[in-house]
Amino acid sequence: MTGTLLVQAQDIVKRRLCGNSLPVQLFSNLQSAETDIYNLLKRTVEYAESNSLLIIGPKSCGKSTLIKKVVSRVKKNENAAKNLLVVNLNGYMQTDDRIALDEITRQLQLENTIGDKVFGSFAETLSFLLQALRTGSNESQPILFLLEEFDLFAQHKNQTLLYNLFDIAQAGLTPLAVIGVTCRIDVMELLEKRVKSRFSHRQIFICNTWTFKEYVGAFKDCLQIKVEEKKKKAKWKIFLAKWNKNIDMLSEDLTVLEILEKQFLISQGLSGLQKLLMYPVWLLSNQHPLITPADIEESAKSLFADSKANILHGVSVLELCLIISMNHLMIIHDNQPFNFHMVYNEFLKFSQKKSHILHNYSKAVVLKAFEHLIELELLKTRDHSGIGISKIQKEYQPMVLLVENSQLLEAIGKYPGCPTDVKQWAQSSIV
Amino acid sequence: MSTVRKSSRNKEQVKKETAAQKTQPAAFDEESDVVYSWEKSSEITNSHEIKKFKSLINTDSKSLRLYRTIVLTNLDTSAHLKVSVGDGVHIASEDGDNDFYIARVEAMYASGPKSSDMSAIVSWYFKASEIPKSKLPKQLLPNEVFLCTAKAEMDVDAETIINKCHISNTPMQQNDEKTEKIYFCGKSFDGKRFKNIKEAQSGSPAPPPEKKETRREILKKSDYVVKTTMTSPVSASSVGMFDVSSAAMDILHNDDDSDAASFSDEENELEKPQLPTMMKSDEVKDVAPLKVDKRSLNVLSKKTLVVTMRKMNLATPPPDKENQPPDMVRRSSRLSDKKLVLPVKIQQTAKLSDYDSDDLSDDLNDIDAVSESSDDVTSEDDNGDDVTDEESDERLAKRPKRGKNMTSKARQLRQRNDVTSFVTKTRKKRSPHIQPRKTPLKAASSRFEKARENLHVSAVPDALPCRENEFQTIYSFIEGKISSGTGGCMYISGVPGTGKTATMTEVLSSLQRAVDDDGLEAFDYVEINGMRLTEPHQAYVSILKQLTGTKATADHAAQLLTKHFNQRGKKTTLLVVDELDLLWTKKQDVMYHIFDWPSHRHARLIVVAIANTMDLPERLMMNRVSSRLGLTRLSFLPYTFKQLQEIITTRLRGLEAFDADAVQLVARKVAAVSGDARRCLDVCRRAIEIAEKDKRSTKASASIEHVHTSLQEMFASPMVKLIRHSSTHEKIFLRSVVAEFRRSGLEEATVGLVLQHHVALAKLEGLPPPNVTSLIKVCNQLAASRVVLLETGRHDIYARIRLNVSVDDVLFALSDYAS
Repeated sequence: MTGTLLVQAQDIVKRRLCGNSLPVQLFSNLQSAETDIYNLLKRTVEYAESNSLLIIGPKSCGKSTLIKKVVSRVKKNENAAKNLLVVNLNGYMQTDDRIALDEITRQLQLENTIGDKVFGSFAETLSFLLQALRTGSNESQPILFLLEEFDLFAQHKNQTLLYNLFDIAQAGLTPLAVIGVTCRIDVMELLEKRVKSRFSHRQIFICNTWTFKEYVGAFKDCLQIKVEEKKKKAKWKIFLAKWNKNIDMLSEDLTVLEILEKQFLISQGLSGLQKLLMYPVWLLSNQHPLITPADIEESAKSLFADSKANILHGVSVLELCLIISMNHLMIIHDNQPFNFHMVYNEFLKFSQKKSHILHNYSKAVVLKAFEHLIELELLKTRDHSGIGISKIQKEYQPMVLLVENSQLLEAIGKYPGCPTDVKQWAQSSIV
Repeated sequence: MSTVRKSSRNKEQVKKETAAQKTQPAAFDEESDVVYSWEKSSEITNSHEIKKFKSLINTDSKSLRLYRTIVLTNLDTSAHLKVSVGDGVHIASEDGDNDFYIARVEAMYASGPKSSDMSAIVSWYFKASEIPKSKLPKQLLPNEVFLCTAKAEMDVDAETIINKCHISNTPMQQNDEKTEKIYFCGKSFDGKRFKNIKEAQSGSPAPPPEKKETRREILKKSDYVVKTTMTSPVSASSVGMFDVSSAAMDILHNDDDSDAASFSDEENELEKPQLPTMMKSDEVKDVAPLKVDKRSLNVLSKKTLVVTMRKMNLATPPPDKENQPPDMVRRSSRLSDKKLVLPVKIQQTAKLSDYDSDDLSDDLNDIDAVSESSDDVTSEDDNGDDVTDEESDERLAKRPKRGKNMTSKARQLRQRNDVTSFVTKTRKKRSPHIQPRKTPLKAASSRFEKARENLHVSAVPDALPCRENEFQTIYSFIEGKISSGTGGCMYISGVPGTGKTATMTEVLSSLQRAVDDDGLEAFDYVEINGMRLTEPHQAYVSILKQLTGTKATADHAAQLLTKHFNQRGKKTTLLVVDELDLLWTKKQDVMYHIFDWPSHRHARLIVVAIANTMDLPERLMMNRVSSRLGLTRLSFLPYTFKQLQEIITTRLRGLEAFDADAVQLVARKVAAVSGDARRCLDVCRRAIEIAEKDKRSTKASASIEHVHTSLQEMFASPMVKLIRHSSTHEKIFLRSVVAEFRRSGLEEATVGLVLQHHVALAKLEGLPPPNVTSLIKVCNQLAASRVVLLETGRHDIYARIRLNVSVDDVLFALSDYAS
């Protein structure tokens, strides 16, 4: 019985973590922004007042959640629900104006007007849609255009779509509310001057204003389940009491707090928290019905793992030695680029004088290992532009190492069965 | 057959005449308000009838159903309108204005499962007001209408029916007490001349045979219509579908009875003038084994039909050719002259048709040849050299301007729709529009609401303040050109939001008023906006469409336009090109053409080009283009603060929602930044919103504080706020960037070096330094918000990094953190 209850609880939390239905109270700091947007939309719906608005804020601070919340709130009003048409566009999906126009036509269900006619050209679609929007008056149904990743729309050719949307919003034709959502602070500079002039310059700026205490609160809100969210059976209540109590305990656990703080210091956004909790929640089962601090620790370990140190775990000892030689070269030559021969010499010095384990690798073998490291993108050619580099023989191409000293030391510390002399050599460049 | 196309200006003229004369029935509802249902019982279920009908329209679609009676229900008023086969009806004009057409319902069918597929087949009647005065018979009876015998589209959407009327064959009796409008029809009109049915019938009071005669005409002319659009009234009548109709029943019955008898008599006489278009239905069958898609509106099949019809018209020898061989050629040449686009069209459609393309291409060559010679032929006509034609042709030659007398509503429709006016376009083609709102609009009530409404950029002020001089310049320029019948170019520049387009709109409405009141010569107005085109060459298409209502490809449209502007004897055209700079192409051919046309001798074209930059002609245009543009230029300077102040005060006159000081603050601030009136109005509108929300404020007007907040919101960069609220490591990262800049003395660093600083600073703060991957995550977060600019590409820790905000701002934003 606990099993099904657990699955239910898991299901609820999973939904939250995947970003579909975060608890409302998480965004209480956006109250004033919400009221502003709500009023604006209400005016569009009730007074046919066209408006344009940009919502700007860093990633994962709840911009889209906010606007979704406002739209659903507006739609609760019966009048508004009947009138308002919503067009959702996303800069990553509608990558050019043509696709965007097709999508708008589809979402406004204007295809019905033209029956099974298929548009021949972009030009026809544009003039069709403009005709549709321009023939409207304030007696037409208001339309909400929601442009997510607004900055990407600004990269469309001539910004035709934005110009026309803003122009219609300014011309008192079909009532439009154009709401752009973006994480780019400098988005206004992307707009062409005539597009900019037509934009109303309303910007709502939102950002995370959490203190650590609130962040821990958010952690709890993400995991805890209120009783009324599901049927009020006694067993469910008991289960939830137990579940919630466990979460309370987790939020007071020092290990967990430490991990949370680490995450908090890096990013205040909720997405980091969601990622952190994803693993422990998926791990739950009948044998393991409650989240433990160890689960979270495990999750944090993979979350904060250093990607390059991880890659270094998988290279051969020879390759590791090459990386160490390169690291020494970078230190000796103050980050100046090196080529294969320099690395090979450095490696020879070590393998001949110090090491008793490593065989005498032939130059060709070492070169192969070197190339493998290039493929792993642990080192790359120096030049940014890449011009002329390809003409140089590969042994002499200037290279730079992409592994930091700290990453190397970390990797060597964890490297399974790393020879002691290699370890020592890594720590001191003296041969 | 519709042989003559009318240009849009003719249409306008006709409209004007119409406006003067027409008597209007009740105001029309929007099409979309009308829903229709139909009585089950009225469906024609007789399998024999259905079979006949279906065989006529070449379809065996199961979903096609025929109806005797349908009931239209208006959703708004929930008024019912029962329409039966044979009833006279008013049909909404496609323009959506209060004009209407008169027609008689011949059949009704639904071709799909949905109600939206309900169609009616009608025969058209002209109102007197639709026919040019010059063509009208001298004696005009009250409410007289004329049966349209020109080939016209007969398939209409059932939705377009407005209400019923009665079309009588006898002159009007005094039966005004009836609610239905009664029309009298004694004559037919085919777009060229009237057929007086009375004459043939020697004044018999009961007109059934005459009536039948006119129907016969239609039958013959529309033989291929029957094949193609399945809509011939005769096709309907021959299946005996109208036996339920009430009013028109007797007439139609008479038609049926006398059909066979009178057929042979009239054939010769009637076929003469319209020769090229006429043939018997069996011939049609031979020539064109048409395949009609079961969805009769399918584009493909329609195109196929065009080809077929065209082919039949021009290639097949008419049944009694010997009657008038020379005229035939002339006619077809005239015809093709008016549709120069046609051959191209056909070539396109030919690919689509499963028709024998060899035959077709021969025909096409014929058409081409004819159209090439057509100009000469027409000019002969114009000069009056050729008077050997029969009577009807003399009349044609006398016409001052060709096509001017074409008023057939069907033709109007077609001209609007397509070059290939042979295509039987359906009225189903509705212009796209957004549905009207379902609940009534709230009116602005409070002072703030009214002020907000007035301050919205879209609000149209009574007059444009501060642009009187510019207005005068443009107005006198255009007026002068119009009255002198010449052409010219004008270039208007100015930064966005300085009222260029608004002034132009104002000028235009003044000119229209002058046309209406002061007898200024009427002119055509064409407007294009570079931003509303997908690419510069679409400008041609757009101009052509607005000018003549025809569609063509860009290249072809350019040719047609050049030709159009070379013709003499037309109205002045005013072409406004907004956002001119977007019409720039590498070869600059679009700009070149636009500015070249006015210099043609008979062009009578005035071009007003609007763009943002003052030096566009010098900077962007080749010499030959800017030379043609000429030196008539007008610059809209950015508004000064006084002007902005005036703009706001005019808009807020009598509302007292704004403090005078506040207005001045806005005006000064905006004038200092851009002089953009739009911005100014937006700031004010926002200030009013803020004032409205502000509960502390006792005064009921927006004060300086509110304006200040509004300005802050709109002009201030949120950068500092963002930095303040970023996470600890993000802050440390920014400090590391600044530290690295200081160390190197450059404004650019690589990520790797910044990371080293970061680790050091984090240790200094007593925080465990995160690893490189986490730090790069931090860096990417900042780069996503564009606080720092990060080089794109796979450079990893060697990527170059820059601040997108001044170092001082960063330090200022971080100051409380550091302390």
